Amino acid sequence: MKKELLVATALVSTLGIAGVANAASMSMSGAHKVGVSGKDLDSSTTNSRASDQQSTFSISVSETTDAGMKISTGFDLAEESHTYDPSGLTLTFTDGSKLDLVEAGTATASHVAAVPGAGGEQGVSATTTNNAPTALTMAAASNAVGFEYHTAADAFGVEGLKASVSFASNDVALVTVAAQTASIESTYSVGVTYVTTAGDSTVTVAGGFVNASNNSSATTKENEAIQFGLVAVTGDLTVGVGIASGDYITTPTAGGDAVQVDGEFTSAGVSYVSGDMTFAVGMTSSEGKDEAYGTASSSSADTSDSQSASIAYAVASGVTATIGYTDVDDSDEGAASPNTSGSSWYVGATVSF
Amino acid sequence: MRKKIYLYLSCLIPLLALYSCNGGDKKDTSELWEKSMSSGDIIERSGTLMQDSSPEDRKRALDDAQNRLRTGGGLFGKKGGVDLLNLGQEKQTATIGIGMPINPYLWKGSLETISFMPLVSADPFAGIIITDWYNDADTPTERCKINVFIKGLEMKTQNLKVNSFCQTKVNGSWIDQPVNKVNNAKLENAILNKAKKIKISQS
Repeated sequence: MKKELLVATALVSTLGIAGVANAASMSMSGAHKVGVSGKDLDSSTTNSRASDQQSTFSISVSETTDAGMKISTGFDLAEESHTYDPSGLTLTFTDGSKLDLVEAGTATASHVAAVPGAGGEQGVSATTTNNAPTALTMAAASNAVGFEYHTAADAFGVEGLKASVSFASNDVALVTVAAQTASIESTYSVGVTYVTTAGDSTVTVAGGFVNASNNSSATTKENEAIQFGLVAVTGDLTVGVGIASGDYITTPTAGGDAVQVDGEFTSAGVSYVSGDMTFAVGMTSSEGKDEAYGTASSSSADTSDSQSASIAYAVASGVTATIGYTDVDDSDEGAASPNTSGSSWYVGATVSF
Repeated sequence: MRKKIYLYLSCLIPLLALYSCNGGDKKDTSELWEKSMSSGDIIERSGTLMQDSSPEDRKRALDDAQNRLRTGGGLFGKKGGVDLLNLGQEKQTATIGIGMPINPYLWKGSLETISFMPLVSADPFAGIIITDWYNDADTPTERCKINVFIKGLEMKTQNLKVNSFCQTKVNGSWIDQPVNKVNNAKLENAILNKAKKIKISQS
């Protein structure tokens, strides 16, 4: 009995003091992009050049409990979109799994293959009624009231496997007017990544599915999409391809009535690293058949095809200089879109801190 | 196209299951995951603090992550960000684990957990820590010492063994007490918890 007292006082109680949780940590980081871009549209619009500056500032706060669970949260201030962007709450468990609470709900977006593509901020974007999808994550929309669970690496006993599942819920008043924008209600999503080796190559296969209902009685399509991608890395060479297909609701950037879209998106690219230089080429091809809510359209689909290339030079830790070029060919309802077609270039630098 | 993607995935899942059945002992796959090219993994290993809760955020975070991985980090170091609570202090560097044949987190966790006791020897290559006798002021007639053995690279319970030895002073002589396995287990748990916290804080 005395020995127990000794151990309690001399060892265990002292260990209790040693086991007090670490102090909270607070970190800040961010990135600033500065450069010049130019575009030469297919329309008769005069070629133009513009400065391109974007900044993002991030704060992260975390604490690790005695049980080993890490609790973290934070926010971004993104100048480029003039937004304050909170991160919700993330719990990281001792086995490496994570649970995102709030600001969560699109698990598929965590499992998108990073298909190589040109870097830089070049583009011929303009307001348009072209509703062809622009990314593999089409339809990945959710209300912020949700959760997202990410397994640890090697999930379910399978080496190289990770999976995520999410659900977000909302209950918005029913909209019965066809021309209004519908709001996303409940979203569920799953995503999976599998990494393996094949000879000298490391192959990543990633994909996911999202389904999101909306509050409109007029729409005949919900947000529902599946995406899938494969990237192989062999030494300094990276090759990848990604495809996505699905339905979603959106509002044209040119304004006007919201539409429902049946879209497909394909991307492919190659990058090669030589010393401090990274060479990349990529292409995207997308097609979206847009129509008024609940109305089957007989017109041709909107399309957008692009080819791009870039050279990135690692100047110093956190600093990259980039030269990029992109050529875009758009069509809207089957008609050429010279205002959103043409070529663009970018010369600039990115600084991460 | 959607049907094709469903078809690809429906073929892929059974292949994964078959491949996983081929597996034997669990291997260290950290090197494999270092080469994962999914957007979530790239963002995670880059150290960027940017949020990735929406597709737009994720693109911004992925750009920053790729810049950090391409250039070897940010302006202020390999991992993302500046520790605001330790500004002006000497930057801590993760020096543990280099060339050690044992799990560095268990090693550091052990040292921190029993730091209140004097050490007789600590051999990081053999994974052995031996303390001297520790005598608490409140119980002057009792003393203990601890031997810690770390037996492998993986951070798991089987790779950690703690033996504690206690003596009681009777008529001026120190008398050995029976081994208390419960207290040894408590010590092992304390070290494991500390090791987990160190690992998470450095991830």
